[in-house]
Amino acid sequence: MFRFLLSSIGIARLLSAYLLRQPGWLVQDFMFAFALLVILYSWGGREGISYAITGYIAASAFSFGINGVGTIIGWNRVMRTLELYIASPITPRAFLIGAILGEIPYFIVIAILYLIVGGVLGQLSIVLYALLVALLISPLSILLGLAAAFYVKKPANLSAITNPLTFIGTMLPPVFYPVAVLPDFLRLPALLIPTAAAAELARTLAGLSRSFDPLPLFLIIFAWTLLAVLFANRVVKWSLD
Amino acid sequence: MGEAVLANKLGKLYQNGVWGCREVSFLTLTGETVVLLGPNGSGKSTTIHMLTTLIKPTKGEGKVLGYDIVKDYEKVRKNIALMPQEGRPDPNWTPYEAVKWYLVARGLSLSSASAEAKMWLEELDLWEVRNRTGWEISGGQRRRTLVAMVLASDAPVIFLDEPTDGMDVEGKYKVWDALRKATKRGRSIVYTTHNMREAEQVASKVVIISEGKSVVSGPPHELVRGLPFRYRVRASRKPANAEFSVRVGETVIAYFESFSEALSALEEGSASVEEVSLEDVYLYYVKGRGSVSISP
Repeated sequence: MFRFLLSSIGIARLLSAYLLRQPGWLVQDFMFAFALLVILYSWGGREGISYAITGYIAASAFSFGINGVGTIIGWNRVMRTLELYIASPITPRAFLIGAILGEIPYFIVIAILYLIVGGVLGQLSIVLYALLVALLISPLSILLGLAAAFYVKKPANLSAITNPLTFIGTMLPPVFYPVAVLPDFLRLPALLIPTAAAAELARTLAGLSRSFDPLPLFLIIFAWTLLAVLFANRVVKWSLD
Repeated sequence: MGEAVLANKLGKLYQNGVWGCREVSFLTLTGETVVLLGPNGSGKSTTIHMLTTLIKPTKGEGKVLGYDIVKDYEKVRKNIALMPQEGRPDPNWTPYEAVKWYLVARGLSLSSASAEAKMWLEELDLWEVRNRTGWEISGGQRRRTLVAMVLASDAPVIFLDEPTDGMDVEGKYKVWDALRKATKRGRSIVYTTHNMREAEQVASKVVIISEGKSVVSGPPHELVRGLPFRYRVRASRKPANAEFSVRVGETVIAYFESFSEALSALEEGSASVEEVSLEDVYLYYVKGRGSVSISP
């Protein structure tokens, strides 16, 4: 167990070297998360902040796996360093945990900011529910990122696929706005999108929305995760072809 | 000496119907450096990929320290390190952190990883630049960082796929010295290169691969001695008395058993009569008539 953990830490340290050298990436994410609070506060006061917190935490959790973990693995395919890791005692599990640990600073920065804001404004429970939902949706996003990183034939083009996917998955559906503003016939299809289901689940748990029960929303995320497990299982190969 | 790497008639047919290699056989004993020589596309890297469990062979068998590369691939991986062809270290890594954290990822303790990193970075003349990122060091130093990563590992069997590609002369000598040090410590090395001089420098044994097949293998000096001629002359066309010749671009290289015959074939402007070397073994088997199947 200790050896496994050490191995994951070694991988995390190697894969996150870019964050140590270019912390501007973290600053950018922090500033975006903060700016979103300001923007939504200016339109909706404290309620606006609640939507910023639930929406952005759900969106970040989705982006974390696809854009973070997926891209870093794709980058290692481009640099051919993935071969260095495969042809070694490093297990795929240790590598994946390392890749997740290496990308987690992005999420920690946002979580800390929102925990502070939530604490100051008395909305801590909203942040905690949103983080709980982030934990629910993270396996889906990680599996999708992993699958994309191995599935794409030309890994140098990976970001051209994952970036639009993340953007479309978080900006268009009701992630930052309530599903209730959509016409009746669009609500259910919109909530079939996992990011929307996650954000709505966070809002429902936090008492911001009463449109849907939490169980169907949870089941939507679960079903997507199951599909992602099947897809990843099919395309992810720790080589031997 | 024990058997470190065995390739027995290894072949790989890719999904697109192209044979990556057809029948490669060789044996690496403990402490040996075996160099795979061959033209581009001959199957050197495919062979390395099969032996390092990156791809599955279509035919034949491969073993590393007695473990089958397909059935026992996890045990094989515990005993190997690979420097991939065209592998580039992350430019955000410094040489020290690249080696140290790669070793930690492989399961070494922090203190052992630090000590090994120091030793191999010194050996490869990277200690002075150990804390500079890849952006701040030369391309050759970045390649040497990758070499340091795999040599510093505790793997008893090391695969290096064209490790000195793009390195200056001094850098190559550093790598060759480091390889000798590794083999003295009991490591076994399988190495690919296009550079004959390099093969002569590092190889205990050379395996020449042509069109996907290993056509000859042996210690470099024995292979040279085994050629049916001793001398060579460069000419613009084949001299009438040449026993054997190959065309390389615009140049014909003609071979002779006796020095006097070689001398008589010298054209005006020809440099000199040269003794044959490993390059001629390569030309003989890859471009010439030498073509025999070998077993490990």
